[in-house]
Amino acid sequence: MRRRLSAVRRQLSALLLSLPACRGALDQSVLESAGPRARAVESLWWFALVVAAVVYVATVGALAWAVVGARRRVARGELGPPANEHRRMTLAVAGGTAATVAILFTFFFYDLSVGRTLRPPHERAHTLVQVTGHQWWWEVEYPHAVPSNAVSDANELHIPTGRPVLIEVTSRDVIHSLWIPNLGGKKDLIPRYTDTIWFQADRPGIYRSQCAEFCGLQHAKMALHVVAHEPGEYETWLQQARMPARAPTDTLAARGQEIFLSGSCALCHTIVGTPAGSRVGPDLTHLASRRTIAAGTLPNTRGNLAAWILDPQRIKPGANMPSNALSPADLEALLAYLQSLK
Amino acid sequence: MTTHAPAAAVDDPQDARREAEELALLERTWAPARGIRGWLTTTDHKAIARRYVVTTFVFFVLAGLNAVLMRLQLSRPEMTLIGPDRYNQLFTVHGTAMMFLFAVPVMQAMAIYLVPLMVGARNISFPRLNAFGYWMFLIGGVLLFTSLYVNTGPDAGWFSYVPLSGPEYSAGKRTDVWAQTVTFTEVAGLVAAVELLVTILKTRAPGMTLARIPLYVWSILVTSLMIVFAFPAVAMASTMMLAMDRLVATHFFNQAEGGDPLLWQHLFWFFGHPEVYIMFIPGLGFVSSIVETFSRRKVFGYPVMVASLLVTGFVAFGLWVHHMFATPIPQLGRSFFTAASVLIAVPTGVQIFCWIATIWSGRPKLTTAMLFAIGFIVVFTIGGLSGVMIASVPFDLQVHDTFFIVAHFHYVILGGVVFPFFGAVYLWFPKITGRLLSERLGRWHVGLFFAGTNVAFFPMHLLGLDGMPRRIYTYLPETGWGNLNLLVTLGATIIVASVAVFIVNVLVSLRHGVRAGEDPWAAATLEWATPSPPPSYNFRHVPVCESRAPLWSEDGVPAAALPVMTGLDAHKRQILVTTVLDALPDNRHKHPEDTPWPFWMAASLGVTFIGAIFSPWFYVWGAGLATLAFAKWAWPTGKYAEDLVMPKRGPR
Amino acid sequence: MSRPRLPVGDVGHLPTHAFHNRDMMWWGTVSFIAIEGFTLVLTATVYVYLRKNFSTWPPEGIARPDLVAPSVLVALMLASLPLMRMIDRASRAHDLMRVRHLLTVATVVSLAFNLLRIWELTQSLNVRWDTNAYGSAQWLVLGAHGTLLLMQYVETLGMTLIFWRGPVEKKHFSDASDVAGYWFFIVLSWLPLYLLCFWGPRWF
Repeated sequence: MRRRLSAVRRQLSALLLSLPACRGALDQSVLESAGPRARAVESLWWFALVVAAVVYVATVGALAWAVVGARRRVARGELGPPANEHRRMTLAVAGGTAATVAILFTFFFYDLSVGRTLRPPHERAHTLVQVTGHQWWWEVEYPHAVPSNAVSDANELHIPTGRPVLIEVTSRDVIHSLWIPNLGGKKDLIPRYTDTIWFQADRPGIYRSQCAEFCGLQHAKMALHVVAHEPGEYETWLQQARMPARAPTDTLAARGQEIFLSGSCALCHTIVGTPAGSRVGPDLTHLASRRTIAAGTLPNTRGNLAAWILDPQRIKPGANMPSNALSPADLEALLAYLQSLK
Repeated sequence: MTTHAPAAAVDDPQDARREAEELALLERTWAPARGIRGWLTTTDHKAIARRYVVTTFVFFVLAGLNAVLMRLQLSRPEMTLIGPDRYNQLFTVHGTAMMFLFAVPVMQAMAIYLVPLMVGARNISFPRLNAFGYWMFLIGGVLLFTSLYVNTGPDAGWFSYVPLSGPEYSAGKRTDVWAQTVTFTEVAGLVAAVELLVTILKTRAPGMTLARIPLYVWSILVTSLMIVFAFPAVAMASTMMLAMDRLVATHFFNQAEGGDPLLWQHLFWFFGHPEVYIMFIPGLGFVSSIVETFSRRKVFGYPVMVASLLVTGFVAFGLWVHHMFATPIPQLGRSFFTAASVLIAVPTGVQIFCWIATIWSGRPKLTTAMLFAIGFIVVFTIGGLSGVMIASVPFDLQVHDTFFIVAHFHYVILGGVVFPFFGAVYLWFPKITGRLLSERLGRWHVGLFFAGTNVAFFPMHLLGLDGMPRRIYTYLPETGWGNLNLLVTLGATIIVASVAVFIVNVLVSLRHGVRAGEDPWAAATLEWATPSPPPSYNFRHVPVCESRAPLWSEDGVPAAALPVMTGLDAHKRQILVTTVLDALPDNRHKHPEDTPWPFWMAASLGVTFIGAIFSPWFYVWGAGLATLAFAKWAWPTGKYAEDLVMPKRGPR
Repeated sequence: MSRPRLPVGDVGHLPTHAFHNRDMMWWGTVSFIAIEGFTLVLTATVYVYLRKNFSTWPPEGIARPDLVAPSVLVALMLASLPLMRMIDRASRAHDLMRVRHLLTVATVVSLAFNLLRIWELTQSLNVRWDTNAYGSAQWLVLGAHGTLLLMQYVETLGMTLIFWRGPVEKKHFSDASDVAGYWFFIVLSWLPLYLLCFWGPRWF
């Protein structure tokens, strides 16, 4: 008996230890709340899970008890039905139904109350951001009354902690969906429809999200990194983001800028402070301070950038960016320039 | 009702000879032709249903192979087995085939076989329409899979959202193939629904009042009514709107000219939500038949069981917006859909409680069929509980479009549709083929299927909660989703093994299975009152139904004799039409002879709709062809003089 | 294990054809009416839904639909209903000659319906299906109902030919009565749609 208990204990701890092996990246998880929305939903989830587990065990248990009980009865030689069967069954079914209705009502009202807490907050001090979905990248804009203070960024969303951030969403082509698991909430980005969603992060961190509505060939590689800063740090970042692109400081970078402006790059990309002003592709003004490239597909390193520029189709087949044949020297210069765009 | 002496006495050799002559005449009247001609002309519901079930199962296996490839690709991060274009076709065709070519059609096909027998009729109500429906279905399925295998498979998801599936973002013919596949399958589904509806309402055995209709037949009645109101929405949206936007530049979904992508979603889900109940409610019917047969007692709570089916079918039409919680629809309306989506759990819960009560008070026999019914309760309930969770708007806005949803719907579909289907096969295989399936192989089948389902789909709940969206062809190693995905793939291979065991069981049992008599299970309903397999005319005489369990004198005890009514003509095809509520014999309806014209009609519509993928003019020419085929179908033969009012006139 | 059969009645005396809800075919027709009727309801829903995407209806630059041909069609449809009642009565009386002649008239009337529908689509609507969503919605409603008009014509013509050339079976009287009943559905379903498509642009 003792041996069996300790065997069970060992199995249980092995199971619990293996659970982390089953968990995905915690920076993209509904179960790792970093904000009030996600926390409210997470508590609803745990409540629902516990209740569901109890209901499930009760139902399957009743089924097992019925099967076993009936077979025992038959084995005892009692071929007729159990005593008072009709009354007992009616009570059981009625009781089960009543319990079901009561549980569902409880869940429904708890759900309604959670829903109420998720209404857009009414404080004036929202930070307004605009997110526009594209095949297959995120356009993130920080509008301002003064046009030169407006910021256009891509694939990263910077927000201050401790305040609700109101995001206006739409799409430029097909339906996408903005979803930030750690902060809670999802909103479809539909062309010609503008809708809003709010998030709030309670602590600094980087939260990962992926497009949550099938949008074509590279739906799988359309990630968005949400960077939550302490308010002071956020202001610093915003000031930096508002600056135009740094001018090249050496000849290699200057050559790189020349290649950018005279080649096909400028046909799709903007670099504020240069003549390149196209909105087809992401704004590259501060490319070098992004953590990833190609909508979260690769870390933003020199090698990855080179591979992406030369042949985006190999990394994201179907992406709208064409291949670029560049000589090694030209590539060197272009990379020097792009990596200077902090 | 006059009473005669029992007809079975064979003392008088003259009686026996007369009986043999009558049987031979009946056989000649009803039997299909032999060979290929028989294949193309038969209107026997059993022949059509058998091939229908086999065809849907073939599509199930093909769609399952898609899933195997998908699972291999996802088993490790950044696998390069399958690229995004091929992957998008694989998952789109997997979903489209499973939903349109397997889940609903297999339930309809089983009903086409079982319902006429269970209500005591010689054939289904509209035999030529039945044949036509099968051919339309077959054409749709061949269209879909052929297009996949030539790299022109639809790739915008099984629900084909616009603008992605519209002319601007889906070049080529892939989405047009999808739209026309839907056309074929929806026509087939609608005609099956109509013929089942009329069979159940008008051709029941005398004495089978509404209160004596078997629960399985009730489930088919509810399902058929649902199909009548649900299928038009998707048929209109895909054939008349999406296909037209792509073919002739209508602007239903083109926002630049006032169209609206949300309109597609409303129309699709108005169909799509009832669709899943259309798949699931016949499964509930199967479970009732299985539980009743193998508990050796009638299902407890017949009135609430029937009411539950009706309520489920009705409420199912009020849920569709829960697929659209993340779209810009008014906040206020969402709570209504949450309430309805939560409420619909109640009638299904009631059914489960009644089955448990039935088993408790019965004498359960754990045959493979019964194990599948039990498996249904164990597996489906998980899906039902996760379904109640995602009825919540805030929770849904976290897990919508993630693998949590994929887990949910596979649990309810495998649990609620496939488990009952397999159970039904074990129950009725002896009736259909005359042999029993192997119980030994059956246990392997159910065990592997149960294990595979849980290993494959349970981890998906966690994957969704940990951020994995659906419909992605790969994922980064940093996400940490690799281990669970590998486990899921393992589960998929276990499912493949279980299906392989099933196929082996069927093939082996067809040749070497224990021969089954008329009623191997000592069951309760009328289909067991005829030889296995049934003769082409189903019943020698019209059976009479005197209770809910017509073949039992009391629970589990087979009745001594079967009351019948004589008098249907044997020299021509004739069925008995009864009244709707009380099933009183009312008139005798002549059924058509075998004919190839339903096949040709389907072929002409095949040319029409497949041609319409390329040019709208096919609608014009096709309409002409179809009219000619239908004229040949419908033109009377005037074969029996006693029916004629005016013979065929020669040229004037 | 074949249990003995116990004859408790005989159905050999029952009639071999029946009318209306006693007849199986009637129920089939009613089922198809339910399917097609609901489809028409859905087309009307599409029409009403798309209205919200426009500030005026019809949109600027498109003339309101003409009323002459559509109103003639509605009048003709209403006038044809007594004809249908006559066909139903003649069928139930098993009057072969009368049914034959009335069906012939009905075929001509049905042809007129179809020609008028084509006129409505190409002339009265004043918009093409590919102009904008308003045009697409109008063509959807009229086109969907028009498909039913076409099928009705084929059915009526076919029935008429049977009654002329034969062989005519007893059950064809029941089928002729069903044709009349289906005709009622075609007409009654069109009335609200007529208001929606031709008066709607004047009212909303």
